[in-house]
Amino acid sequence: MENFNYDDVQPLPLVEPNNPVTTILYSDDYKRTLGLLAALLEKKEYSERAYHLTTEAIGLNAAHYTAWQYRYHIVINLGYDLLNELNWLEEIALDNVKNYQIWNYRQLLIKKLELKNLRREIPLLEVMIDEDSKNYHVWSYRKWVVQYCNDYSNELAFVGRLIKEDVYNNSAWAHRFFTIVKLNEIKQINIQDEIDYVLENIELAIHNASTWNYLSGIYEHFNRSIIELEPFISKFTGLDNEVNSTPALEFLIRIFLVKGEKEKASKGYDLLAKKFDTIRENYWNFLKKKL
Amino acid sequence: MHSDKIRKSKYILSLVGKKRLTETTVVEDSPKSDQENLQYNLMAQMVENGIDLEKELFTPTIEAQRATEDEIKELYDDLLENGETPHLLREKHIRFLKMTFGQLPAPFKAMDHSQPWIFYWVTTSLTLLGYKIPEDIKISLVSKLLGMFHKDGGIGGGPHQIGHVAATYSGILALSLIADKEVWSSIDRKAMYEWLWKLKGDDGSFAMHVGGERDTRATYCVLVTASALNILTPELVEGTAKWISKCQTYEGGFGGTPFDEAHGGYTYCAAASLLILGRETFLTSCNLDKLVHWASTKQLNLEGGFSGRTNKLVDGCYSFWVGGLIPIFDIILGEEEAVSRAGLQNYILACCQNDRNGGLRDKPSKQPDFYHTTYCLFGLAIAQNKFNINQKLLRNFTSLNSLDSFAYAFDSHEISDSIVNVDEFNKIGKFNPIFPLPEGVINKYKEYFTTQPFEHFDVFV
Repeated sequence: MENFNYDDVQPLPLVEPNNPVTTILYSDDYKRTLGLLAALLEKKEYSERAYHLTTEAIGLNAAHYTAWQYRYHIVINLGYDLLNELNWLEEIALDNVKNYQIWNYRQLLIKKLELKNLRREIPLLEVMIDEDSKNYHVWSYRKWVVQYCNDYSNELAFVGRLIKEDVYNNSAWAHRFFTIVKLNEIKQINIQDEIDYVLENIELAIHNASTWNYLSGIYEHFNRSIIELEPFISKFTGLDNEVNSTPALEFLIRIFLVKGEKEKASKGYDLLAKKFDTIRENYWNFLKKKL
Repeated sequence: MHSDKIRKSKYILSLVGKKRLTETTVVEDSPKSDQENLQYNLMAQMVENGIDLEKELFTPTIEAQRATEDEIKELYDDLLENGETPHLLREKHIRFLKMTFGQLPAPFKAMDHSQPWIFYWVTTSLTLLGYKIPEDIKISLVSKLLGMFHKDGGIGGGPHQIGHVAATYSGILALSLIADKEVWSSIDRKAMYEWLWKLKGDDGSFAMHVGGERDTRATYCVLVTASALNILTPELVEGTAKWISKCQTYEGGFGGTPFDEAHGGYTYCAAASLLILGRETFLTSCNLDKLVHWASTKQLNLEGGFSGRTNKLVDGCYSFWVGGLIPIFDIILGEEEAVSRAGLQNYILACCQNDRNGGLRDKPSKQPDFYHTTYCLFGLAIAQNKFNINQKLLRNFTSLNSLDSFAYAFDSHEISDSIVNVDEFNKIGKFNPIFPLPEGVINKYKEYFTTQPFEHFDVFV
């Protein structure tokens, strides 16, 4: 802060005087930085020193949304190079994995720049996801930016790698679903290839709810009848054999229902309720009653 | 060696008990079950339900799940060994929460941008625990909250911070609990209404603040704020239900924005938002069967608590974010149960309480905080009560001719002890699941604002 002069500014108080209840004991540095920032914002001062203050404030508390919003107005008003902002943001992102503001700010910049090119985004997002493969903010931003750029060409390879690393990664499967639906909107895809891919992955880990949910979602979205899956599912489960997989049995029950085989379905629900998935006993009994 | 033997025999006894219970539950008109046994036997059954590593592919997800199951099984095993069911550490939690009556240490600067949340969590939790908040504390908190209203609209995370809908949501809810009519009358509802309009997008969604991110969280915070202050006009929420419905995923839960992964927090926000817009809107805007399936399958076999997403770990806070759907299911499905309330109560009481300093937590290996304390306690209130629509309340609020009347008719009563055993000692106050506050608080607040004139001009339409 020493390079800038704030002698003319009185920092605004962050706390109400003489009211200690639920009052945060801020460090002097925090009080001064955020107090100055509030004072400059009050005057709507768009200046280099104000810009610098936002950097300091975000360094102290990266979730301080007011500092982010102020910063955006400063860079726009002063005509700063927004690409520099993107660079700076990358450093901040790597230090703050769970944060809403970074990704919202990035969206604002990309939209302002009309940067419809993923070249910059892909490496950052790869690093972030490798750091935390189920990071909700990052996956959500990735969906936004590939839609904004209308470029889905990297997605299947990317999620394919993550699924290979951890077939239970539900975030990767959710992203895959998004990609398949969008790709199909652009150009009809061969859905059988996708189904084969899911079935292979189910065979790797037959208890994995992520893959079974995905399979169900794909069949629903593409209006295919699940009856054709009966031979496949019968490899893992059935009413007479020892049940190996709860989600498989549940899927099998759905097939029974489509075929109108209520008695079989009822027997299946009993197995789930009493033997294989007892924590959900109430739920399976409820579905059985609904038959 | 000796204790091992005792442990084993007790354990076997408990399993025998479990079998007996299972048999009796199959018989119709089952006799009243031994109350303690329900919680205890279920626990014995739960610890048998961990993942079978031999059947799973070993990946980071399974590794993390296994570690969590191990720490939780240990706790349950200890209780089973001693033949105990856990108890609510009421006084310790009250002491933990009262920490906020003084100054908060410097690391709380991380909450600088969301201070109204602390007020809301602490006052709501204390009230549910049966603690009466002293008047001078209330006055101090209200004074601080009023200092967080921003001149450009909404409530900010602290003084001089721009309006943010999460801060506004928690601030508006806190004021219903700790302020009086004189304070309520000072809220500039017209300014609030105009600010909410600034947050609305063409697609029916809302932003967290001017220029902020748009997601189902924002929608919920806006709807609660507008509804409570009785400024929820049909124009303000035009297109909103439709936008929310796009956030329901193939799994059945909701994401933050369309195509995002189904997630507990966003699912609660989406479902509660739809319900504020009315029973019909709720039923026509979401696939209920899939939602119930998603919520039910978020309950974990061994843990009994909920995870927020498929293949993620249990966390006490989802006792509310996922568990908060249970009251909605109660009123739509009637007598039917979609989850195990007994399992949920076991998780909260056995795994989420810090028995040294009080407070509730994510899981045994985590430290307690105010956020988890509140949402675990809400989870307890959900597990212990069956929810229904109170027809008198419904008539009362319907006569006010507001589109959100249904959400004000929530009521709850003690649950049958064949579903969950609620020890008198563990009982927590009743609460409203859509406007998460002690029972009755939101109704008085809303009624007050319906008596106040509200002249608005939909200049934005």
